[in-house]
Amino acid sequence: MNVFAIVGAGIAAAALSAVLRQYNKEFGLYISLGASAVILIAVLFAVNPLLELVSELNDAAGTDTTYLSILLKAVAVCYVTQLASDCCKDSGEAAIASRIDFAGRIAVLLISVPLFESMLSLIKDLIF
Amino acid sequence: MNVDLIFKIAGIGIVVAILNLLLQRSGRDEQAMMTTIAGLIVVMMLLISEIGTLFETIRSVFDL
Repeated sequence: MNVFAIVGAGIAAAALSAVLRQYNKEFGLYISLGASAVILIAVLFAVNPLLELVSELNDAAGTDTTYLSILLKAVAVCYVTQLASDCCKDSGEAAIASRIDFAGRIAVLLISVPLFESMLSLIKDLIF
Repeated sequence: MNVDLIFKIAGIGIVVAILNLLLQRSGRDEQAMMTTIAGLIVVMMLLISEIGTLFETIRSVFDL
């Protein structure tokens, strides 16, 4: 991952968006959306070694891999909803942004239901 | 990294803004609006494919 390329792309996109916002408000939003997508894709292509390290640690700890996949799913949902909600906030739609945030929270809770269930069963085993 | 996309969107935006200005000056407001909408649709098409790539990448990285 080339941090300097990402920094340059971000600054260029911000400058272009600031220029275009005077003439066409929509294009500012589109440039910010495109820049976030481009940067996020560049980061995601580079994040693989980190995930391998995490799964290695998980193997060393001997925990179930389903828990790790639940965690990664929650992270992905957070990234996507954060992207959408920031775009809505930038275009001045705070209400839609907070609804998207809410949907993301519920989605993360729904994804982590198996974790809660296994924790509850563990507590039950400990008590009885 | 696909930085060309940002410049493509910005270029389309500048062209549309100039066309919009010229058409409005010459009194063709309807055509000015049509150019704006056409530019928006073109940019949306560009963005949709990029966002599709983003979702596909997220899906493959976090194996959803």
